[in-house]
Amino acid sequence: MWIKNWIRWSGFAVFSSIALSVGALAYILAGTFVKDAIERQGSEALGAQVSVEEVSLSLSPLGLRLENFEAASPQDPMRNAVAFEQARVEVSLWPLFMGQLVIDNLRVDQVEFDGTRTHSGAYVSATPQGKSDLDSSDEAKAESVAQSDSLSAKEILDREELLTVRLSEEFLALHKSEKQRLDQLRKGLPSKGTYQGYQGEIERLTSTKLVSLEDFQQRKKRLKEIKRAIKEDQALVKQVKNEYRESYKLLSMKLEALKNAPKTDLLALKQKYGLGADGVGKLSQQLLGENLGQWTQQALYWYETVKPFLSSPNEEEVDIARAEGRYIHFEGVGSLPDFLLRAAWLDIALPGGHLTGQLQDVTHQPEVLKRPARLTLRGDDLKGYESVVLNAEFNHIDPNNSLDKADFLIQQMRIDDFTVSGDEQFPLTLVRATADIKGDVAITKDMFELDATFDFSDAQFSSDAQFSSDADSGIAKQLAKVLESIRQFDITLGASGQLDDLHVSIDSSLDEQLKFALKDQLSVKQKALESELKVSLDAKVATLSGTHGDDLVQLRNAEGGLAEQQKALEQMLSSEIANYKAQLAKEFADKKAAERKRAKRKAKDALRKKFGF
Amino acid sequence: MLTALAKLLQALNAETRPAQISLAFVMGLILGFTPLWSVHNLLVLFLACIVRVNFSSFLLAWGLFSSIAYWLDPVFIGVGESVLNQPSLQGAWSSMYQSDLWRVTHFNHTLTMGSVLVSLIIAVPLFFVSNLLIELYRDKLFVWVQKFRLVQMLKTSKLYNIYQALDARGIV
Repeated sequence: MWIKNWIRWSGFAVFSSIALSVGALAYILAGTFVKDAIERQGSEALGAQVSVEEVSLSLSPLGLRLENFEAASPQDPMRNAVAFEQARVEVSLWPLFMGQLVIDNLRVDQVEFDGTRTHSGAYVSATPQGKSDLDSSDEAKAESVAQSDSLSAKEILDREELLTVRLSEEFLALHKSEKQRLDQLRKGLPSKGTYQGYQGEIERLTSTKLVSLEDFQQRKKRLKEIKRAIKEDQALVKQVKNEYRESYKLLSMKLEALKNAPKTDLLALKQKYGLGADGVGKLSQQLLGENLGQWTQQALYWYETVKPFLSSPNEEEVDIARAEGRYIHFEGVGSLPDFLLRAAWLDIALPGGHLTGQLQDVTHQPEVLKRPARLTLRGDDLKGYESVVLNAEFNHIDPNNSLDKADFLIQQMRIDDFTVSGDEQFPLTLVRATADIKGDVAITKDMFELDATFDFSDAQFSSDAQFSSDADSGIAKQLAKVLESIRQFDITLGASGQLDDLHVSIDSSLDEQLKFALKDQLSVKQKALESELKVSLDAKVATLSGTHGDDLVQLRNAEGGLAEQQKALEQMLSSEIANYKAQLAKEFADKKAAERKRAKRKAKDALRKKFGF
Repeated sequence: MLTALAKLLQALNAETRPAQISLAFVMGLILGFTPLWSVHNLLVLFLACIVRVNFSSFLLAWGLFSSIAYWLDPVFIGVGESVLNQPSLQGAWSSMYQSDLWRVTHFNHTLTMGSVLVSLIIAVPLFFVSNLLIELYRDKLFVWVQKFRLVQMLKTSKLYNIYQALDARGIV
């Protein structure tokens, strides 16, 4: 009875029909939904068109099948960054109920990089783009670091931040501020009119005869006042004169440093551009820098694109969607992140064969999984290679101490017609060679370290340069000849520093071989360049120190003028007033003596009258 | 088609006692306030279908509380964050997290936890207040509402007529 009152059995049918309808709808729409999500979110993240021809859902095992996936290159919309024919995804069912997407198996076939497209893959974002790639200044930096260095003195001087220029700018700024300060101080000094006033009054006081003792006292008082005023002016002049002296000292010191700056600059340029008595410098850097710079730039671009997907965003960057909430993960055995790709089996199609490999434990929450993501790639019997092996580990378990590292080994790579230098004046091609390449790379937070060695054998260089008859052309001709005779060489590539400010170093046995063969010719050439640099730097300083020297002479003159002024005041004090004081004292003493004489005479006369002498 | 729909509605809406309507409101509240794709909502929907509650009231409450939830989600998330990060409860959450059964409930999801807690707190008073209001409506306001032009218009609709005819024949 109770059951009949509270349970309606027809409700089972209603619930079953609702559940079945929802299930059927999900099954029908899942493919379209996933396809749309991949294309929309993929395009937004990459900044280029991402497309997939078909997505179908399978129930046993639960998963998806993607057909003909293409992601266009953001740099070149007519090429694909990556494309594959087919991918099969197997998803764990149970974690789905817990809000986690765990891909147990991903098998990707016929992955192709840098393939051509039939239509443009340019993508215009519907939302404002964040910083999705290296910005232009970073690119420019990376390029400038590794680009080949021109040997023109003017270009070197224009490109470099010279100490000479910096010190000159500092000197000009200091001189300007000091001049303004001293001019201001000088304005506070007594004028010529003041001095003339003093002199006029002293003359008036001293040129007229004293009429009485009172007159004497008044003049004496006024003279004292004038003396005090002159002393005050004298102190002021002295102070300003000292300021001029200090300023002169400071500016002289700066000018001296400026005169020495070209030497320091020249030394630094010699070190950087490999100039000097032994001639050649790092020719390998100049020949190979452009290619290596481009490769480094491309590798860093992909690393920066992939990096956000390998770790949780920083606390400051977390923008929790207000209406969505988030999952909080607690410590526990078998904790799983919100997204996990347990294993992906890759089959990468290269022009010479296939690279196969495995990608493991990819998640954006490695701190939950507590395992780093790993990638291994291997290719044997590839056309043009004996073997290729790459091992990489992306460890972001502790976001503050992330470490991404990789090592690679390429054996017996065949090189044909590789353009070493596209320079119009000296085009250079490596017609053929066999290379063994070995290296490792590590990225800790934003610090990058790369060490790679390239061992070339069976090499054949060729240069199609059209040589003229001048001296430069002679060296180029000789260089081409020596290069053509080289069969074996190695290159050691090193890069380190912040990701946006890499210091790339290239060392090669080519340098030694070329140095040995071209020592004399290049030594002459480099010495000429060095002397050209020295002349240019000296000329810069000569012009600057000429102008600045004049400024210092003006300061010296002004200080001299003040010294004369001080001297004049001193004289005014010591001679005119002092003389006049002596004169007044004498006049006063004479007057007193006369008065005493007169009194004496008067007393004598009175006594004579009284006693009748 | 309309007859079948009317039959279904009649069947589901036959339960018109105040407690049946109030319970439907409570179920609608939970379904509306909490994230739809959750295991507990499957249970709520199942209960709404098989327990004799007024289904129209359930659907109406679901729609109404879903709209309110849109504005209240930030509050729910705040409640969920605070409860799940409560230091004294970490032991309990951690042990629950080890069980797949609990994980399926999405208890560790801030919005789910917050909205379920708030819904459960509101559910009991809502049940009694609804009961009271329904009785008040039937006693005092029903006759007055029947005079509304909108109600008159609805009564002339085809679906309402079929519904009434089935009711009169005692089919539902």
